[in-house]
Amino acid sequence: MRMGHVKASVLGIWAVFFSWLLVSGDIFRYIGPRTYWVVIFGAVSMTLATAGYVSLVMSSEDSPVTARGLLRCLGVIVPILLVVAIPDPSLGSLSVSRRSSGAPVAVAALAPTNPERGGEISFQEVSYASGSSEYAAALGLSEGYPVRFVGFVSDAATGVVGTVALSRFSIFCCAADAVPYMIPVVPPAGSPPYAVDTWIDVEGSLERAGDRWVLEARRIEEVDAPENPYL
Amino acid sequence: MATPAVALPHPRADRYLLPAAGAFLALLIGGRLSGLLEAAPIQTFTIIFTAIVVEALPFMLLGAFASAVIEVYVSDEALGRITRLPPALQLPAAALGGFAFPVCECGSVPVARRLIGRGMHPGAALGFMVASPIFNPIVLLSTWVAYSPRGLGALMVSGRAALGLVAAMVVGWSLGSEGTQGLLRARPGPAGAVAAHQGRVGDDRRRAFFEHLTGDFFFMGRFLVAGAAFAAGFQTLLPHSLVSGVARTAVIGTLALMAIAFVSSLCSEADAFVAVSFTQFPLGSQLAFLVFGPVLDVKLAFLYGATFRKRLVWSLVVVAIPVIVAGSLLFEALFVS
Repeated sequence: MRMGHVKASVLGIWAVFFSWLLVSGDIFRYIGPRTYWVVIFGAVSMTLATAGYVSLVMSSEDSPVTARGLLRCLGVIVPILLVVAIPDPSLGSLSVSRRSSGAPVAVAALAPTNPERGGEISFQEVSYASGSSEYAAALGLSEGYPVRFVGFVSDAATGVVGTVALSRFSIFCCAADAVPYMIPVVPPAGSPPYAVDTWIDVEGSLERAGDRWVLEARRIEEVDAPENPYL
Repeated sequence: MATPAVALPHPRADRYLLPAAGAFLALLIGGRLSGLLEAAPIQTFTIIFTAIVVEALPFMLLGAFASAVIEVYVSDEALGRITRLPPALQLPAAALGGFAFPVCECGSVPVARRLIGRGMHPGAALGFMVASPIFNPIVLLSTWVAYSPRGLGALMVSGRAALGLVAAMVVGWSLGSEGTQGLLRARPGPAGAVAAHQGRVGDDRRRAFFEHLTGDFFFMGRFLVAGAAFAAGFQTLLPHSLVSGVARTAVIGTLALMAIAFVSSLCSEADAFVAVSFTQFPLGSQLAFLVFGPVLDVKLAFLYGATFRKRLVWSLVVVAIPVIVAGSLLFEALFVS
């Protein structure tokens, strides 16, 4: 075996990995919709690089495999090995706590100044409204508005007594820039405590709690994490 | 002019490679069997680490592609028309040239290295390297999209482009006088490879092209992986709230956001969406975050360390930090306060 074989294999493994991300839908675990094209570009360019390298460069003049050369080449596929070992990783409460932007007031900075009124209200909009009474007014929120959201329970401070934090991440380019959104939820009386990182489906209505908005739950059900965990 | 290239033995590093690889595999298998890999910090690390590499690797391949084209297909005569220009013209032209090279920072490093190797004034190549991830249209557009909801799109885009350009010019002027030998780190490879390509045709050239493409890819790739691992580790372990207490202090707040930019290693095409959420920090500090991140972060520190001599990397820190801090304070004083 020559070093050329190792290099071609590593390039090929990356080409297959990029293609697998596209085919399996797992791309959304790592990359945001705005940069979906990067993975397509990665799959095509890695495939072309592999094909070009295999057809032109691999030859008997190539150097033999050394332990150092082999390990240095294999180092490039460490992320793939990790993904194989941990098939469905997800960001959860720990990540919410690591990002100051998880605070509702900070997240409200991302809110558009002139929100569209009417239509179905989104997780982000309720999260913005929860941190900004001006945004809530611009959105025309009214008490008793029925909503249903799926998210995970995080231990983020909601700022409203007696509520649990229903959280979801939104990513722009990739999971490294994930921004957590949070809605304070008032659970129905007698509800059991929900463990952090549990995914729940919450149905209820939006209500005022001082200058904040909360989701007063009528029903909470534990569910599996959705295929695309991000907003 | 050929890139200095010599075979570099690393006997001490080699001694640890095999045990380290064995330990890593044992940890993966043991962790999988024991359920340890399901722990939240491991999951968080894995997803951020993989995301950074998946996002950056195609751009790095693109950078290696451009670098191989420059090495093999651009003739000495064609490049000579640029390299014979006076440095005073080369530097601003190269920095502005970043506008036409829409890749993230990982792609610009191998290109800068190759341009220096082919005789471009080192200051101009460094200027290009610093400017292109800040000054390219995709990055400026994403900055506009992130800040326009607050009515600050035009202000932040102009501030980012202007301060990025200033930082690139200052870095180029101050560090480019070192000369090629003082800048580039020697790396394994056949010496005199460049000159040998110029007379080649057909398959020989394509072969040389793929040799350079994969050479750069594998060389930079392992540093990208190492840098991404450190960045993911920092993101998993360090809460941003550690620095939010100093948010309202102009200089310290700015340095704190630059520190977050350094450890976060965000792609310059996405960092504006994170910067805009640091509402407790002044706009000037957010601008410093947007300009410093593409100039120096953890993964770039690894890539720079692999490409340039250590002294240059430290000089970059010493030059870039005061320029960006001063520029962001000036921006705050002139346009925000």
